[in-house]
Amino acid sequence: MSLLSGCALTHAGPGSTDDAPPPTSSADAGEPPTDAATIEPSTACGSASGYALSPIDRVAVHFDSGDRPLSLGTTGHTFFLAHLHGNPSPCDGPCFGMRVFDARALPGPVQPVYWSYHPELGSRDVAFEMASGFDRTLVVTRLGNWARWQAQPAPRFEFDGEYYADAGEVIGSVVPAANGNVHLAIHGPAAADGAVGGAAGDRGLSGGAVDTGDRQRHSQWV
Amino acid sequence: MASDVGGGRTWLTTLQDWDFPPTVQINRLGGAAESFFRGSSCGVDDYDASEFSGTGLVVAQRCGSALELQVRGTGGDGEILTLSSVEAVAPAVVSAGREVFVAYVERGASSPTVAWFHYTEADEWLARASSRLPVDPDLELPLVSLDLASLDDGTVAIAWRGTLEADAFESFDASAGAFARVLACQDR
Repeated sequence: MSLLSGCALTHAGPGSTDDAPPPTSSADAGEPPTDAATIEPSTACGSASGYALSPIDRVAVHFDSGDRPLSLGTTGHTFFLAHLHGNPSPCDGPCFGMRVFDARALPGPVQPVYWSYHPELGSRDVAFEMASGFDRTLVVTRLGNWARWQAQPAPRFEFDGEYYADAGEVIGSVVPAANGNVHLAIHGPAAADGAVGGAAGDRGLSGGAVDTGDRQRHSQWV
Repeated sequence: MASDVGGGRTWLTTLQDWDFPPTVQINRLGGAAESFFRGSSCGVDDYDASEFSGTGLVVAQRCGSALELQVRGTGGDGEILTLSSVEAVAPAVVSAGREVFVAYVERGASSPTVAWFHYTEADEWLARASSRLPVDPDLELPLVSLDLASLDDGTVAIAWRGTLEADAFESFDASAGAFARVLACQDR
């Protein structure tokens, strides 16, 4: 990430920003950074420290969201916001959806992620999240030993992959892998076949990571 | 269990809660060698983690009303930075190079705060800036979840959610999310 120098966007309203460094236990916190000598004296950022987090949105952008954690992902130039949309929604009922926006534009309407439907969608345990890495962003739905994902940006009705772990196991997360597949972190009574590493080496935390390259179970939308 | 990727590695993190104190445990998969290590033992309630500078992992862990930031996997244990008086909301953290952005809710606040830190080569934290995000008056307090992400140009987005009624899943007026963006900038 390259930080914007000169900071043309310093339109913070009164009280909307706090230039004072946050409290910290570090003895050095709040002191000028060690590389400050390379920075030309300026007030362009509107901060005595030379650094600022300048508000882009003067007011918070409100949107419909149900009772699940929000998740943000990014490809580096686009944000993807995953959330449960309440009712009414574009899919005529509560459903998982995604919003796409960038550094300046406001997000468009929620894009329902129809393929994330699951018989237990109403369960509070269903996770819906973005996972970014290796220049890819996945939108992931998972519940217990089941997970589906789709690579973004490409809104469409079909998912790119689906995986069922063995009975009794739980898929803890799904992230992009460097080789173009995905990695699933699985925990449960035993690591799944193909595990490439133990997840925790302590009692009660058996598990591992599975590369889906040879076990991925593709399915079409049904 | 959460995962993150970066620098050719996959990181697996878990919250060990079978013994006191709860501790974030970290596995690094891939690269020259796999390794395992623990975060600090402040009694972790919830946490988030993000790949750091291609070789390490930065962990933001909330322990009651305190929030700790620590970089692991870069050779030493690293300095722990502590923020105090935070609400019981899981923090979110991302990094870009050695710059770290963390979002959390300060005690009594109606909107999240995003703070920007720099982690030096000498394993020390430097505070860059912080910003309290605009309040969404339509959200019911307390805030219950948040997340953040950053673009290559230094734009950071933070999304958060307020409280919904217990039956909000079937409600026709459930509406409880907000987001805002800030731009990380430095003077020339």
